[in-house]
Amino acid sequence: MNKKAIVSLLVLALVAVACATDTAEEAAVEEVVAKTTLDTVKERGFLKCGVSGTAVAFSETQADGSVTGIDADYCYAIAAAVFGDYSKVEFTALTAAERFTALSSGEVDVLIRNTTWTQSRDTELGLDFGPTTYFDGQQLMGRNSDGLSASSTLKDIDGLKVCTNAGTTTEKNITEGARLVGASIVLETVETFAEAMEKFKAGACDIVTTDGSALVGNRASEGALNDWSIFPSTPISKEPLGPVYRSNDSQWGDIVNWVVYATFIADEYGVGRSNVDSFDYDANPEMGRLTGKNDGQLQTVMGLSADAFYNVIKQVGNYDEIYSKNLNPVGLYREGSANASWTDGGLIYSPPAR
Amino acid sequence: MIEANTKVDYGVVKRWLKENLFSSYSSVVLTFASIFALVALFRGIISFIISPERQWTAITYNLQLYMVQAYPESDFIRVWITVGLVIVMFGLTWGYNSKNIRITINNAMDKLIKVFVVLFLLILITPTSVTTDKVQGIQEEVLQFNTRLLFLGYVTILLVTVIFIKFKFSDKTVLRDLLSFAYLGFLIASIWFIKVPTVVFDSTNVRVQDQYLPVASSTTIPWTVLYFVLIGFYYLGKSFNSKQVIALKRAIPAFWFLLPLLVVTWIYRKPDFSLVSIYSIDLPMVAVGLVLGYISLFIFNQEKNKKYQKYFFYLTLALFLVSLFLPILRQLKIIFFLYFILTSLSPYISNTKENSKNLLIVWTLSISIILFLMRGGTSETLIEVPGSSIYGGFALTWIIAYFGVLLSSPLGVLLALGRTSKLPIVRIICTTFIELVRSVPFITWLFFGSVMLSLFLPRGVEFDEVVRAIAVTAIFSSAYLAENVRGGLQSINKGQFEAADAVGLNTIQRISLIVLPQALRAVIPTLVSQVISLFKDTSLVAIVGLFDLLFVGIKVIPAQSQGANFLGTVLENIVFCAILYWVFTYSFSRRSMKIEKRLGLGER
Repeated sequence: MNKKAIVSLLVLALVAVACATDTAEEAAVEEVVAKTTLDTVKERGFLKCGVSGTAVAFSETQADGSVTGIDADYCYAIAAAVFGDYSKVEFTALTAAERFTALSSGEVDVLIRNTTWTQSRDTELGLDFGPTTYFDGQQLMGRNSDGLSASSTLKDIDGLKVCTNAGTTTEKNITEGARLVGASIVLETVETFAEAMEKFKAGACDIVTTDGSALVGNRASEGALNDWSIFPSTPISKEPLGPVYRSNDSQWGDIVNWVVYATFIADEYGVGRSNVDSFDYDANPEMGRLTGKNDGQLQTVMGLSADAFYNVIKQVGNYDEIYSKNLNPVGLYREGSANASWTDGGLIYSPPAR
Repeated sequence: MIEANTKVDYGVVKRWLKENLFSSYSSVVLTFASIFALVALFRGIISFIISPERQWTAITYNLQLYMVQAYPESDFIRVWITVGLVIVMFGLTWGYNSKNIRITINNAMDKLIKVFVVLFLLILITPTSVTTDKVQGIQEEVLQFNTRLLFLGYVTILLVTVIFIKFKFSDKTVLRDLLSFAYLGFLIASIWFIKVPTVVFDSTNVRVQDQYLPVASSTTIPWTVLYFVLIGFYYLGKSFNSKQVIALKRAIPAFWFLLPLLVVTWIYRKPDFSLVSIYSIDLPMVAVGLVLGYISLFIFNQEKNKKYQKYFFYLTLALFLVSLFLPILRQLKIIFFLYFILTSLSPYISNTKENSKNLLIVWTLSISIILFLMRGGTSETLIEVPGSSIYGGFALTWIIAYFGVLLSSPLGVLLALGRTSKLPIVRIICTTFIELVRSVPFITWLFFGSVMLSLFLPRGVEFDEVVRAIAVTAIFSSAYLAENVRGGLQSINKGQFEAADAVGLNTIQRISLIVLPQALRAVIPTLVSQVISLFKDTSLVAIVGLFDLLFVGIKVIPAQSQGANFLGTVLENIVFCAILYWVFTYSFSRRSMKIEKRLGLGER
């Protein structure tokens, strides 16, 4: 009896192994023919885009399950360029811990998840960063009743109690920044930023510090626009956020880059969703080339259709429209920030389309 | 009559108060201290709920996100049909198993009186105003004197009515099921009348002041219809019971077991059941499977053929192994595999005529169901979800919990048997597995399944995130379950094994007929607490990017700045999630208490 049991167990194990290798081999054979990301995406019929799903104004999940935000809009824009239909996107919600693995293992085609572009991430992970779509930076938030205002500097926080979340660079930035200007601060680190906010609201902290966009969002949600100030106007750290893609496929990288650039250029010339059809393209040959009104050869050599970027602007909009729609409601405006166009003294700048 | 009753009651109340609350000076002090503490606690909870700062619309507006995330509204009819099917089966089960228990009106009304008295007290202690700004100490009036009086009046009227019924019909009895229908009917009727806080947009899509609006007819009408469907099928089930329809007794558990599989196939996969593929692939496959099964069962039933069984077993094994390497349909491979299982098991199970008849039915059903599920599971889904993931919210919580339990239970039992086995290899494998799984935190395993697994698998081999989460949950839970079951196994007297051997049972029969029924019965409480903890542990899948109920509540909704704007509404959502979890885990434990009672556990 026992012998039989052993034999049948062994056979079952064999079967399991056989089944597993069977499917694995099939898939491996399929993978031998190396395909470009663009081909994979086109064949699949939709774009797989890695987002956060819970980042205010960057990628939020709405009540009907749809995803909105500036990051989500750039996913829609890439789909509009590749398929001519912005809705051909499948969002994958990724946590900060798994985002890079998900991208390099091919689970997503592009990662637009408010990810800061740093040297180590760019060079060590086998990933490349696209043009920055939002220039963020660490700032501080304090109460007006403590004599702080939007024009305060790091010197003004001398002797105050600062709260931030542990395990990130924010802690390091504020310590180094304060030491640099000779301000002595009491630093308290908590587990998450939400906790730091609770302490700040309860009066247990005088200052909270994290990325400027998060501070603005929190201030808006608490309705404390006139009670709390965010400073210094020049952030104490650089956090450029933009799309990330695998570094082994330059065609795909070009497509992602130029979708972003197309929104910049359209913004520069004031071409948006409303006037993209009525715009006088003869008077502006660069816009003509970009939207494929001439021969559209610039787009077809990239593997896209001639009117790819026309679809982006028509269906999603230019940079200013994307920015205003998503970030103005939480109190983030372009004027005077690094996110203004280069013609207005900002950093939003694109190579020419020719 | 009534007079006499009231008099006696007063005496009872007085005596109860004196004995339980005011028996000595210290107990008087304790009583008042706890009343004070309770009032303070409930005042705090109530003022939290009714504070004008609370945005309860965050929940009513996001109910769909909470339940099914991005499931498209155009396919909601599938959900309603499934819910209808559940209600139909629930009614049948309820009616079929109904014991016609009668309870006295007196008892039923006593319970209602308790509810209304608590309600009365709660309205009484509700604070008039709540602090909305702690720093500046701003207070806002939330309950006017007249409104409070009005509410108290309503409750008093209800209370008086109930007390009147209690004394008027105190000697009458009523069917317990009818009473349940009455309560349910009251709930259903109330959704036609209550008004819920609703988010309102003006013509330019800007959110304006929330309003109290009636529940939408797309909610009220289906539930009302379902209520009457429930009553109808309850009586149908009752009539089946009185007509002694035995088939239903077997069909009901089988249906409840299969239901979630059908739900996932029918709601989430929306498989492409094109007639061509069904005629050309599925039906021939079923025919092949059935014919094979019937032939072998027919042969084994003949006494003179028993000696060929062994060769037949090797033949089917060879057939299956060869089929693995042949370029044939996957369905056929599966059929050969099942066939091999059948031939290896049938000598042990089909030794009587009755058993082999049952085996025939099981074979027919399993072939059809597995092929149906394969069609559902492998064909392209027709559901279009714009963007977001189709799995999410409370549905995801249930899917992971259900499949986690479904897969981990047999695995856990097998591991427990393996660990107590006499075979050294099996024992070592099982022990190592259990100890390895138990010694690493659940979150680590989830990360392993989500992030690291893809590094080990060849490129292109992808499992869905949900599938990976289910697999990890099942494996993790099975290790704990195995230890629980092993506890049960150890409680079984050695004499039971010897007795089983003495009557000539083989190993499978000994385990399935003698050992497991006793062992599992002994560990029901721990098994249920394992199920409850698995149900709650599903909230950890959020760390691998799945939006389960809790994650939707504490992260997704508080991050909504577009549309209705619920930025920062964490507290409301946590409370809602906690209530949902509580309702379901509490009903699990109530259910398990009933099972324990039925099995007479703890009584002997």
